[in-house]
Amino acid sequence: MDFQKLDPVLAAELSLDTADLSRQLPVFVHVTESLEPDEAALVARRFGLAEPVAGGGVLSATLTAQQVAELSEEPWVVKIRAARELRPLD
Amino acid sequence: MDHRKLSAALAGAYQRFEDQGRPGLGSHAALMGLVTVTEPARPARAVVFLRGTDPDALDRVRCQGLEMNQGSGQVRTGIIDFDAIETVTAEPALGQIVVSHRLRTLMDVAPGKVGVPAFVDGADLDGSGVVVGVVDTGIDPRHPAFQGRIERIWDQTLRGSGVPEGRYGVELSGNRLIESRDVHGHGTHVAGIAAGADASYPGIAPRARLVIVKTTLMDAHIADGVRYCFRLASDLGLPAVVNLSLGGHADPHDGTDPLSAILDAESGPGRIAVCAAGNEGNDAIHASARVPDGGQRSLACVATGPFEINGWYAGEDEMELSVAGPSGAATPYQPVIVAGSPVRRYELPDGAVQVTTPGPDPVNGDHQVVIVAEPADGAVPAPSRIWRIRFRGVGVTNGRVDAWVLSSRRQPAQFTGRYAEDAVKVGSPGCATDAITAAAYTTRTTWTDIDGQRQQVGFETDDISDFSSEGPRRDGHSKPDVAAPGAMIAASLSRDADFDRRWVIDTERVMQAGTSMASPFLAGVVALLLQQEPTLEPAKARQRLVAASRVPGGRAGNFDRKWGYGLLAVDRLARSGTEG
Repeated sequence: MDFQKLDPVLAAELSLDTADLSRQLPVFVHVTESLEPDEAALVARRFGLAEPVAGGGVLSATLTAQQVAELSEEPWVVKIRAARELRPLD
Repeated sequence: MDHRKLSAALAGAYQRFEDQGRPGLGSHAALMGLVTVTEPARPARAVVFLRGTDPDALDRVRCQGLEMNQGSGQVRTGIIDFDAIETVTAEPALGQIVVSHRLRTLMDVAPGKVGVPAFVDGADLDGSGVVVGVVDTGIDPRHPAFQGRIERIWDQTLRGSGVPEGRYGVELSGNRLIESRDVHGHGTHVAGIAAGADASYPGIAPRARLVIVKTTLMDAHIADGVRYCFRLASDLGLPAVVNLSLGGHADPHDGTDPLSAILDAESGPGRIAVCAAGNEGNDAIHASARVPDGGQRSLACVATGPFEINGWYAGEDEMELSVAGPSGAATPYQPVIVAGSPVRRYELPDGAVQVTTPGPDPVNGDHQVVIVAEPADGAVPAPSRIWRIRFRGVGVTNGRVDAWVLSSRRQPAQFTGRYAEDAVKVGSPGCATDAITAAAYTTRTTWTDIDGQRQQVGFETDDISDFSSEGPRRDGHSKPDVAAPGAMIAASLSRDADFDRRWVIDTERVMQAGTSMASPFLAGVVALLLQQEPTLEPAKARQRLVAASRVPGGRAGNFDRKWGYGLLAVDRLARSGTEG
């Protein structure tokens, strides 16, 4: 697992000895532009991603903690960030 | 009869009724809460306020010709027959009877104050042919202000197979729209401001099509919702503006967070996002300091419950971090950790502290530090609940540190001392580069609630709202962009929401304040611009809005961290359009 690609919330979650690796986590994944379309399709299937990951950018996904750990080791992943709850501004 | 019990207006109306009968009330009906004046089969009646000194006695009042509503306190509402006024005034529990007046609503007031009618009427604009997307707490699909104009609701909170942008939630249309409810009420109000069709409380773009996302409020799902709105609009062949009256402070405040990045990626010709600046203008949630090389700076934070510090400093700098609890006990200085987990946990007498100090962020290149503190119950007496976040420079050229404190509304934590700063408080998604970000301006501070009680808030009228969050971004980029009416705003009330009655105007409208209200006002204006120019680009829209705005006493183009480029004068948009 590459902790340097995880935001502090995920790093804290996954560094716990008691971390539940099956826990579902809504996340953002920053992806490099270097991923080829064929490779991107394989990646999308492997991680159950709804969106195309070729061409770079940011995608959202719900992954298990185990998948987050695996994804962080992929060279085309720049950063994985846990989704955070926003507030209505009234 | 005791005429002293009648208000002047009611006394005058009653005199005309006695002199001329029902026809004598005609001229009063337009201004007062008079009812059934023109229905010969029913008695002439008026909506009134009833005052008394003894609430218990008011509860017992029973008079022929008076229908008193449920209520409490010394002022009640009711409907009175003109024929019965003499009898009712004889009731000893009633001290005064005041006829209800027809009020101008805020959405009557606010558009006029910023020149909406001149722009709309001159160009015949109403939002036709434009999609207004609202990603929020939902909508009341049965509200008359939206009838026949809601294209879809993606309710992310219901269990289902979702949409292409996210395989969760349920997509609803047609007769199934009513399966989604807005129990919070925020989204319904926001949608009403942007696009409500209401003769008394008109939204800005009342003929726009609506695409609604009832979100889980997780920013990843909000991003999915934005994509959904733009995709549906594209499927319909229509331009779209998407409103986000939501925000947070867990991001770097420089527009590189993923939600802001997605907003920027999704924006383009005919696809524009509008965001609220935030409501932390009165809250010390931000601190900033310059840490000298080899020196130390300490940010003080007052907390009564759990809190999180989100800190950022330049990638070329290296700093160590220590947290001191109110007792003075402190964690050791923690360096940047680039091997293995960058998370360390400490137990202080004051509670548990978790400190995370990874290497430079792979996206923006800066260092983020995060502290999560859970004060132990009763460990520290209330007056001394000050935590100190100590940064030590061990290789510093820039030295600037910015930090935001995140906490619950029930137990808010705030910075204090010399480094607390009223700036850089526009978080994600308001800091998205291509989004248009709204500060709030106060156009009204008083109103009469559904129970006839006069209500007031302590804002300054015709001024920037003091709660409106200040910019700029951490990287110096100008945010917010412009100010629009955000207090107090009357708009659509969700029947499933449980608002305090003080805020409720009637059964269909509620009064609210926030940059949440300024944002849909601006989104409605952007919808009008898109109606004029369906391929309008975000940068051009922002340019037109900025050119039509002024900070009072200043010139166009002058930026202020509270006002942005100033209060939008919508009527100036006509000129800015022709000026190109």
